[in-house]
Amino acid sequence: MILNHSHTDISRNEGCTLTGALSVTCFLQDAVTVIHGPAGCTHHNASLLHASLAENDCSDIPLLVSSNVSEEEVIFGGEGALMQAIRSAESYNPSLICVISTCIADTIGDDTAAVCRERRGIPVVHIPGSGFLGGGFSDGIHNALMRLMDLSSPDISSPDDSMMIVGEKNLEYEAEENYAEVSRLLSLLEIDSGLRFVRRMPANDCSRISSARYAILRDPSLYPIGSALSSRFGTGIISGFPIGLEGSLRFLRQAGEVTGIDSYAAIRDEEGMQEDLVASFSDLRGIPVSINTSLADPGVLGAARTVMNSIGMVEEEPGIPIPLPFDPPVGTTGIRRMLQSWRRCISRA
Amino acid sequence: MPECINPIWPCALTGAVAFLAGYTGISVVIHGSSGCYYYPKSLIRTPLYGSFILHDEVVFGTGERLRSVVSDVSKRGGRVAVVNSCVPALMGEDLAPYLDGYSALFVDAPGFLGGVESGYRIAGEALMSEAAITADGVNIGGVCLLDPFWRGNLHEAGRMLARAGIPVGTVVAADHIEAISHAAPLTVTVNPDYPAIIGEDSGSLLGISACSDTIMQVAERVPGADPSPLLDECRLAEERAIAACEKYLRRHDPPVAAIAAQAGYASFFDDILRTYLGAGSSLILPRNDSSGIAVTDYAAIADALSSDEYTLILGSSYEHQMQPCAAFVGITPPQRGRVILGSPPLAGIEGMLNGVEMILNACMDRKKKF
Repeated sequence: MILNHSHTDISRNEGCTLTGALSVTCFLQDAVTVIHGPAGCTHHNASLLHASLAENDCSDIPLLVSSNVSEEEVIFGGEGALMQAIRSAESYNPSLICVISTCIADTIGDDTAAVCRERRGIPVVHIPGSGFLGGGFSDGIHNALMRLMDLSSPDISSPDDSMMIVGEKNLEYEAEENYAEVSRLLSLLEIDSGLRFVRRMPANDCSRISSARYAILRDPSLYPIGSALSSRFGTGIISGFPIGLEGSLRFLRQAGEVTGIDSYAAIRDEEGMQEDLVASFSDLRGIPVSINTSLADPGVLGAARTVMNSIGMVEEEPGIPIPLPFDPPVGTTGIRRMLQSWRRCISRA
Repeated sequence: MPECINPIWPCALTGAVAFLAGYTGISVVIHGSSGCYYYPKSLIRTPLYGSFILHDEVVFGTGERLRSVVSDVSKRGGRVAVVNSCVPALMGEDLAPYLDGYSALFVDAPGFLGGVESGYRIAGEALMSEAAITADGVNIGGVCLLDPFWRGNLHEAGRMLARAGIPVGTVVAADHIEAISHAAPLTVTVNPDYPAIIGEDSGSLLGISACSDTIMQVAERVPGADPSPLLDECRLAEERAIAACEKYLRRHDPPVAAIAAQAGYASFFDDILRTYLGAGSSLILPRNDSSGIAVTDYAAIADALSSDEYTLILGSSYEHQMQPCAAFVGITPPQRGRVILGSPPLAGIEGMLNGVEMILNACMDRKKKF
């Protein structure tokens, strides 16, 4: 139970910057993440990753090295402990070491960035992750993506025409299904999905980020990342994954514009698929339903009402309460899953 | 402190919160960031509150923010306990003046002080400084909301003590907050890794011989108590355990076991394996260092488990993932990917039977698979 949430004060309750940064670095293959702070901070996140990855049938948890800051380091400084932790990380011979600072490291005044800058045989990237001192969960994601982007050279030797996917929500239960839907839509335009920056991406592929000519952001909130990609490497940006029926068509149009591919046929194909989808749920037509809009994401609400109108469902009080997904439904396939959950809910009512 | 790889045991803050959250009539406020709130909240399924401090408060002081949250929480009635996390603890701010006028207990348990048990002890010492021994009988200690067996242990301890005619003073830590004013002079524990702080340590209910010894010892000091029905029950339970294990051993070899758990539970299961199943000494990887050096690094545990061909693993879902082909008994949190709704005990007579049952069923299930 949380008290004193302010709507203007999102970072107070959105979660730890460290967790956000880890949700990126832990999905770099062949990289080791060092967390400069107490062991408890690392444990909290190892436990979260253990739980999240287990739900996605992944039995290994990523390697997290804690500098294990205790009372002694709090008093005398923790830079020595950080150096020791980095040496420990080096012993695994990774391609990259990501060092994330915690609020304790920042509060005691350790110069984490300076320790990371020391010359080593393996590149070491410092990612600010100092809990509430550095913002919230989404700031952690932004910080990590920005710092990893620094590993890419602006000199592009061979431009990549596939579509880079930026900032997938790695802790999301449906992450792979959402990726598959985006890939399906891209395939209608005969575009391949390319680098996944960052989801199960080899650390060395960070150097290839600049070669991607086009990129899709997972979410419009990643605008600063898209802006940086665009200004530094000239990457063409699509601002978010497609949400709902209309969003899918808009996505195809936008992808066509960015890549210079005629999207007319692809949009016609997708419209046909959407008409079939709506027809297959005609049994829901005329059913009075109600939606709890108080905490609903506007994107979810918009996508839900669009498809309700298409089918002819009636929103009224008191109607059968139907659930909304936590995250906006991605693509036409996401809408199908939402409709299936509504059908189950209505059949139980 | 040397670095550690994927530490898999929670911090002192979590232990302190788990202790206090076991009491009704007191609301627990975590004074720290959202990150320090969400993790304990994900483990401890009771209402918890947070101050959710931000950068500005770290710079200019967190006291006003804490007072504001405590003020709101106090309106819900009852007392308030504030558990201090790492950053406000090392800021050195004097928070006591901000709690003036509220019935607030302040517990300084920053995560960097150690593991769960350290925090549990710190919170226990803070709360029990207000306790009063005014009742007869015994207290039940060693209850912690992080322990997957806490409810079962509590039920079983209550059942056994009632059967022996021994009244219960207070339960540490799962009671109404006012019950600490009616504590008993003696305390028995259901999990020795969580110290009760209050009352004279009068033994453990973990393991059948410990149960017998403890019940006899307590009965001598509590007027009107009669241990004989429980002693008979202990004897019969042990006969049932031996019979089941002997039957299993007619067809199978003793398991080669590794146990990753708090020291008390690890010793309990090691004793069962050696006494009833004729197993050799188990590999014990204690989560806490009460009887050796704690092993809480994921990598160190994985290395240790790969050092031999263990046929039985007792531990958490981490160890289960490391050795998916071994028989597995979940005794240590976390238990991800499993549904646990009931209240089986490890303590007491039923706890011993449950322990034997879990081991035999896990071993037999493995035999069916391979």
